Amino acid sequence: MSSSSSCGISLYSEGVSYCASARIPMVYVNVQRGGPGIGAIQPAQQDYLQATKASGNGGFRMIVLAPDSVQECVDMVYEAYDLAERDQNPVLVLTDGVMGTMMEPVVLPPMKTDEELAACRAKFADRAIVGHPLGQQAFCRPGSVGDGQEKVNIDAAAMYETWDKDIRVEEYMMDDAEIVFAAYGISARISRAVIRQLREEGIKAGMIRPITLSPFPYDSFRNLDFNRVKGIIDVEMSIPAQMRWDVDYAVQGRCPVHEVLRSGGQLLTNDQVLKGAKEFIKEVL
Amino acid sequence: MAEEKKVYTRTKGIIEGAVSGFCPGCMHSTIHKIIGEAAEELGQLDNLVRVEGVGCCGLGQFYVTCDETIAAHGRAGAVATGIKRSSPNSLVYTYQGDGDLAAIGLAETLSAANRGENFTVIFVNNGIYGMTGGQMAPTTLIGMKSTTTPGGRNPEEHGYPMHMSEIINQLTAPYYIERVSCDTPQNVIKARNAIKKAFKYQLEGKGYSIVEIVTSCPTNWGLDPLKSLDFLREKMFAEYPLGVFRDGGEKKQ
Amino acid sequence: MARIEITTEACKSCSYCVISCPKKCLEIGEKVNSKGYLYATSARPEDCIGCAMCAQICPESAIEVWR
Repeated sequence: MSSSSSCGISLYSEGVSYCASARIPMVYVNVQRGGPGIGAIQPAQQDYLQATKASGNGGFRMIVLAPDSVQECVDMVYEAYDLAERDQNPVLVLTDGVMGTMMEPVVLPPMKTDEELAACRAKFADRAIVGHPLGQQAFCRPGSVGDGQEKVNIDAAAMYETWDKDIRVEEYMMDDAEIVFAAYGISARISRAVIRQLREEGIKAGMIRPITLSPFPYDSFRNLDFNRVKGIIDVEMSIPAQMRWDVDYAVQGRCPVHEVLRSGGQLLTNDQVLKGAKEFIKEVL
Repeated sequence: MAEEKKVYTRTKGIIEGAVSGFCPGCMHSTIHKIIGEAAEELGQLDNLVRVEGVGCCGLGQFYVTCDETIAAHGRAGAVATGIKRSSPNSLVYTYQGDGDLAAIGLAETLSAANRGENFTVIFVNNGIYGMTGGQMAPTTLIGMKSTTTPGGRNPEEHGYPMHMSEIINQLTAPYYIERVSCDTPQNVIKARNAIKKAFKYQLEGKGYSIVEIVTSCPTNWGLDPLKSLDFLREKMFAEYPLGVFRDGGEKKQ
Repeated sequence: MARIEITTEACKSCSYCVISCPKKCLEIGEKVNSKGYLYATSARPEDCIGCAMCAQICPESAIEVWR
């Protein structure tokens, strides 16, 4: 497992791509900061497209988990190991500098038993390059000759097809929502508070919070009742907006999508999101 | 009565009225000052180009008046190569700490030195990582505590301190290599003269120069400024002796 | 007449000037600047010889010298 922040994650690109090609189970964390470049040291959410679509060369995919609390950070890293082991593929936990500097009480999951760890090691015994008798060579291969690389891609694509079952999403106050917030991580926390304030004023707001950013919960947006839902507010700390691409892809213009954004290390505030939401609500409701 | 004359004023190489972001007693600000003074004495402030590394050295971006860029961590040697080769008449220097130059940037540093690139490297060696919170650097001393060597650097586990002036002195191409410090007024003057000489050599097209400046880091050493001077003199100078390694292409050590 | 001027807002109380002055003119004073640092002051200005050792050693370029 490793972790870094934005520009440091760019340095990881080559390595992650190698791990994906060689089907190495690994977990890493990106605690996003302002970018691009060395950017700003303060928090941001500007690596969404890099994280979910193109973490390195070669078109590989990963499961990307997005916590919105310190407890989720703990739980998701723990789960990421299991997912990485299951798929023999890198898994990314995508968080941000606010999560990274937040302190909250947590309940730690139970430690794996010695037997579970031994079973994990046994599972990879054939593949681990630690020395094998003649004829049982283990080759950790981040590339291939002949038609070998295409076979790697075909196998990986088949694995990606199985990920629908791993889609996780939080649908907050969505039963009767007419205005839908789309946000992840710290933006989702802020949106949740704003939704409660809007509800107190009689506005039926709700939120779709992707928990897996990859695979993305397209159906949660695709299958909205657009007779009821009058508008979607995409809240992210990225200018230009990035998760909006996935929202637009699912919504296909069936209702207007508004953005409330900050970027470059500047933080969204409750007031800003509330104000932006109200301006949009005036237009569409 | 003779008229009074101003004999020392703040260099124009530093932004007027700016207070540096460096810690109390940190010699980064001293070094920024003497770089500005050296360039000013050579009449080169308008021609000066700075390639900054990443780390505490990055705080210089809010302090200097010359043209500058921030290289990716460790890549200042490569960026300076590009700048100097495309603008050979500019006076180009890199400004890097021990992590930037000797850890993540070791390849770029040695490659540029080996090619004999005609720029000046200012290498600030304080035996620790500053900006990131006091981790062990390649230059950390044996027994020295850091956040990644809480029990003190142990050679079996962590290897030995890296002496960059000596290592670069093994290459054929470099023209001028000197190790200095800024712990006394006399040494500050010596350090400024070394930088001025390196700049002069660059302007004459003589080749690669590096001035390694052994300094303290009161914050991450956990010592107040005056006590950190003691550690600097007793321990750091013992490991990194001051002096000229090569001058005019000729090895002195 | 030799004298110095200290930009008190730039002083970070490191004390390098205090130990470098050959005439022991300088001391860390009892007043703080806006950053909270007790800044250096010329405690015995009449002893100043204008050697500028204080100005040379000062990391923050906080001292100017006349002679």
